[in-house]
Amino acid sequence: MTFVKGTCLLWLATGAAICADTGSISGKILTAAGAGAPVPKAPVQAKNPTTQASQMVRTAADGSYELSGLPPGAYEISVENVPFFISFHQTGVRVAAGATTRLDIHLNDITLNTLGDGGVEFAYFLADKPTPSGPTPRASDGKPDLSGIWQSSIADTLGAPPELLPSAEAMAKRWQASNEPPPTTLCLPGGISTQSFSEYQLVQTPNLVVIVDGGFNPPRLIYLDAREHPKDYNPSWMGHSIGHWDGDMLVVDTVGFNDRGRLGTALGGLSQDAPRTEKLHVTERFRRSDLGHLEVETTYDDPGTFKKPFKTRYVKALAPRDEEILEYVCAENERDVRHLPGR
Amino acid sequence: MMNLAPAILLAAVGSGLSAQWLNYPSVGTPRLPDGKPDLSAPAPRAADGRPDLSGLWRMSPGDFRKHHGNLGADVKDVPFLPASEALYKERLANGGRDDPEARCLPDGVPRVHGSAHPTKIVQLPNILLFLHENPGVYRQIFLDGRELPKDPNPTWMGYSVGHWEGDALVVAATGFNGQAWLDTNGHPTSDALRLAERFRRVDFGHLEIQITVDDPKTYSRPWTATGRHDLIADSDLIEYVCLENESSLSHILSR
Repeated sequence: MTFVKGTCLLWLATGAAICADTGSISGKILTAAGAGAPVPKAPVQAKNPTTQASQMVRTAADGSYELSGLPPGAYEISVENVPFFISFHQTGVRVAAGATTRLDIHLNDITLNTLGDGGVEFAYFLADKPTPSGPTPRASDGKPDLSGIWQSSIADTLGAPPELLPSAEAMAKRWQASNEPPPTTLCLPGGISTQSFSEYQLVQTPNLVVIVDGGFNPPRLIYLDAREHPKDYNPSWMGHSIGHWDGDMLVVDTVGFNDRGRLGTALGGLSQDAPRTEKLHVTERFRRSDLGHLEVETTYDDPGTFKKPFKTRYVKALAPRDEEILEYVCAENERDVRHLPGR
Repeated sequence: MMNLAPAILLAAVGSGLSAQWLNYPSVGTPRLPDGKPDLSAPAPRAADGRPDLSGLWRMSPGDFRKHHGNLGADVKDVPFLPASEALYKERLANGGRDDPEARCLPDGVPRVHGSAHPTKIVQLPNILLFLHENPGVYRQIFLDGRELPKDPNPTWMGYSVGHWEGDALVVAATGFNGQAWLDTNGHPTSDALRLAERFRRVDFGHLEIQITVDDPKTYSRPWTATGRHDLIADSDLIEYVCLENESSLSHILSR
């Protein structure tokens, strides 16, 4: 069972004036570092441990949130899967009928607030930046030109959330229990599902699209020259991608993944890290709706991991004119690996 | 050669895998009557009339043996400053144990031009991309008329701008971090390094590269090396992740 924000209105409309039977929780989410910079777009969840009912909202640009229409009781509040920040949990947050409980949350970042900039850097990544506006540009061949530097974004699951097969569920639980680090912690690639979050540069030619994401991933090549997938591909982190135009939509089909990557957490629209197998088949639909926005709908189909295919969607904004992708060398000054569990 | 670091061995294994999926005919390749690529056909042109350097390239075998090991192979006297000569000799003597490549760090420029791994060039009117298979680092050459930045963030691959002089692409690069080696032997660099490169596609299958190293903290005057790259037709990059199954580092000499 899930609360819906409009529940109160609905009940009013049917004549049952029981609105005042509920209360709300509101506050701000700020960085724990420094004076506290607002953390936008963070998902805040309230769960009633007795009824198992839950409600989730995302914070606004100023870090504020409001969970309303909550029946009185003690709630578990959690903020999870905010890129760069460590999850927050608090139990026993009381909600009284007709009242608002104030709860400000200070999130620790993944450097444990040691960056020394008051959390500004990480909060900046999540914030909306000014976006150039104008019509969709066209390439010389008349196709929409998707080229540009596209900012960090967060993917949302479309439709039914993914359901793990028991074997995959067991593996995800094992990772959690043993603190098994994800590949990116070992400077290995994050794979396609992390590209929703990464800022990336897309370069389009008539026969080829290149995506370089300035992060953990090797450059990604998407062939537009009508070739098919090889019959016996070498399984890889990024897979083998071919694309074609369906009107103004670039449809990209990718297979040939290795089974070492993960389909990850908030980065990929999932609530937890999920394994992936060599059966993974990813379909992405890229559309540049105007100069400043790139919409990407992704279907993940991995019959070795999920009960059925699921979809995610992210919308990236074009970076301001003076931004460039910088060099990132993960292994440089690396000092963490020897401290990881099990190493 | 006595200074092969373990990563070089890994690199050799990696390139041996390249026969696995990569036999797709490259678009726009001129063909001989028997269907093989005509590598001595004229260099192709881009839509804007410039020579098109796009393609998959790797240093010619002869040049590779020379330059991968020693960028100064054809230079009579590499004009070392005393401290850099001492460092170079130390690297030769200790088997290159501090080689960044052995730690899966980037080759930097120009060393990457002599890599055993191929490089894919993607050329557009305003930008040219070098996608280097090893070690998964790319390089952008801005062709949009911008100038080199005054205070660039020091990096392995530097900051590069280019322009056309006739049929040659002339590239100026700066903003290097001074940690990269010019070659496997270990010719040093500093953060004062300024590179001038000249790329000319002499015919369909061959690319000439001229490299001028200007690094006043390391060498007493600029010096120049040339090399030739061969087109690898009907093939492509394969994914190379240097840190994958990395088990060499613990065996590197004198660690």
